[in-house]
Amino acid sequence: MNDEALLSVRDLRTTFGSSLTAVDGVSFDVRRGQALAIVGESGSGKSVTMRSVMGILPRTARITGGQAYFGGRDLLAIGDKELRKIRGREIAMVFQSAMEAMNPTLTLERQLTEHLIWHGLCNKAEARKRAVRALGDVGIPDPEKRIRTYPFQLSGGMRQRAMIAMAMVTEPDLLIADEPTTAVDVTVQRQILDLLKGLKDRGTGVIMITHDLGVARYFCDDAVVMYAGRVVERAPMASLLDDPRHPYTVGLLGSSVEVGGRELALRPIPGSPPDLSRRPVGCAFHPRCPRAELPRCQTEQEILTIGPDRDAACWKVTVDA
Amino acid sequence: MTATEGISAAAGESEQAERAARGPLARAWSRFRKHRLAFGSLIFCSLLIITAIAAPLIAPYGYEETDIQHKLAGPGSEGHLLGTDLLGRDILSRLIYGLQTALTVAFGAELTALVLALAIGLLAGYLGGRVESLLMAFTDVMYAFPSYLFAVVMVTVLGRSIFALVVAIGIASWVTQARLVRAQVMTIKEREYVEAARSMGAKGSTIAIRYILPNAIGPILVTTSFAIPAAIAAEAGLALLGLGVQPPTPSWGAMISEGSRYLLAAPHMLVAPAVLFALTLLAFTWIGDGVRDAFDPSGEQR
Repeated sequence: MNDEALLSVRDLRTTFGSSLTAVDGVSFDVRRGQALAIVGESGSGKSVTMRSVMGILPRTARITGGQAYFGGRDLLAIGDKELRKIRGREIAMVFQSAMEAMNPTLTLERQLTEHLIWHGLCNKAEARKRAVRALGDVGIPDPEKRIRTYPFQLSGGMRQRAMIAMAMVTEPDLLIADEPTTAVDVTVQRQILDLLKGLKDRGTGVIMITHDLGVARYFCDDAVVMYAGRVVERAPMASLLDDPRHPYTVGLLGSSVEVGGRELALRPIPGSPPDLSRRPVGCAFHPRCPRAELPRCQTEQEILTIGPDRDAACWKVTVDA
Repeated sequence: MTATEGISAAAGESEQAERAARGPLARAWSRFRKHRLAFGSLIFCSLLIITAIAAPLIAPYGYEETDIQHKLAGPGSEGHLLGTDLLGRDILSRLIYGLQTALTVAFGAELTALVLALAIGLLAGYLGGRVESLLMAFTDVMYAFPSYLFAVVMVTVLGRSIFALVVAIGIASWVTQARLVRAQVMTIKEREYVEAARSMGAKGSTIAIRYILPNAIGPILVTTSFAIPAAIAAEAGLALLGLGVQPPTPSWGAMISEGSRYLLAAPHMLVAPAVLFALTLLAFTWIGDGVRDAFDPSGEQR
């Protein structure tokens, strides 16, 4: 599995300021044509993880450890100049809200072609052709005409699709989608997910950052569940939904409105995610965990292999087995 | 200009297509045109600018030319529409050349201020860190220094030339603008589209110029358009203090100052420059109002 990984992140550690560890030893792999969901509440470190890999962290953040192998290179070690050649060309990112993520002063044409030209992929005329094709591919009617408009002149759904076209126009190997459906209507959600699924089926690796397991299950093959900057469970999507092992995953599924077509009674997880500057000792979830046993849960818990392709960071899981 | 291109490209097409072809600047321009007072002022000021440029063609006399027979002639007297001054110089001609001085100083100073403010504000806001601390500390020191006093010192050091006035007034007014630019940049660089541009592999300079600057330009243009009348007033103020351009080069401030001394004997010497000065300031300020409204997002009509 490791040898065919498109992106392979190992023990990634990212800190803010001097003491706040937002990402703490995260590892995962993505293959071509695979969709991986990174699931967690806000503040769990899922977005920081992907921004670390992309090298677009805010200035106050530092990557303090780990590797991220992509096409034989360690993205964390090659430096910003090299990384810039990969960003947008081999790895592209789709953001939560196209309203926010598109420059209001540039036409779609500029926004869809500029990075093709920065990366020296083609000339202006060819770039325009590719941009029009990309807009057509994401289902924007009359792309020849639409390409001359500004983002605010499009409807929300079209804007979101235009943003995906923007990411796809360079034909990247890996697409990172950060909550791509959170800011759009339910009707648009489905279209966006279908688009991403189409890309995956054509061999693009997709990483989907989401807090919504319902969205993740739609096309993701595997899932990584994060809590307080660490991976707490890693499993194929189907087995995660059928048989969640980590108490946090169980809680997360219980608080989703609808998963797998079954209506579940809402059982929100009590409490709120920890303040990362005052992370609880041992398992960070234990203060909210219905199955916590002290003092055992106050000791650090390594992630445990609990089955084929399955890991979880909870000692209870082995006790159950 | 982008604004006019956007308009003309869209002319003749349907309303929908017209909207599609218009960028943010074009939209600001169309809002500006609907502001009657501002648009009227723009026409007035354009005429002033043309007059200033074509001064030698328009002015009936040279600004130094004296008509010794007709000293202190009243307005409407033969050959002198607005009369003459103490030395028999034609007041209309001196007003027209004074306009040249006023506009050269004002536009020169504001251009200087804008370039300085953009450079320093963009660098500080975008780079952050130590560069920002240094640049902003420098800006704060300048800000703490009374700008008028600074202009007085500059003119004294550099001499009473137009260049000295441009430098003095420009340097006195870039500070506020630099702080504004930096504040704008700091807000805009947190926007998701800047992050998106980074995620697409944009260079720092591309981000600063293509992504941050165009989105910050509205408020900056607004302050600049209000700074122009302020600079005209500053030039006149310095002239009033006797620190304007070296005579005999005419300056409205100097003309007003001189006229006020002969207020009872020859009121036309004061009235003409004072009225023109007031009208000019008002017109430039109204343009500023129009620019502000044009960039005000709450006035946005889709």
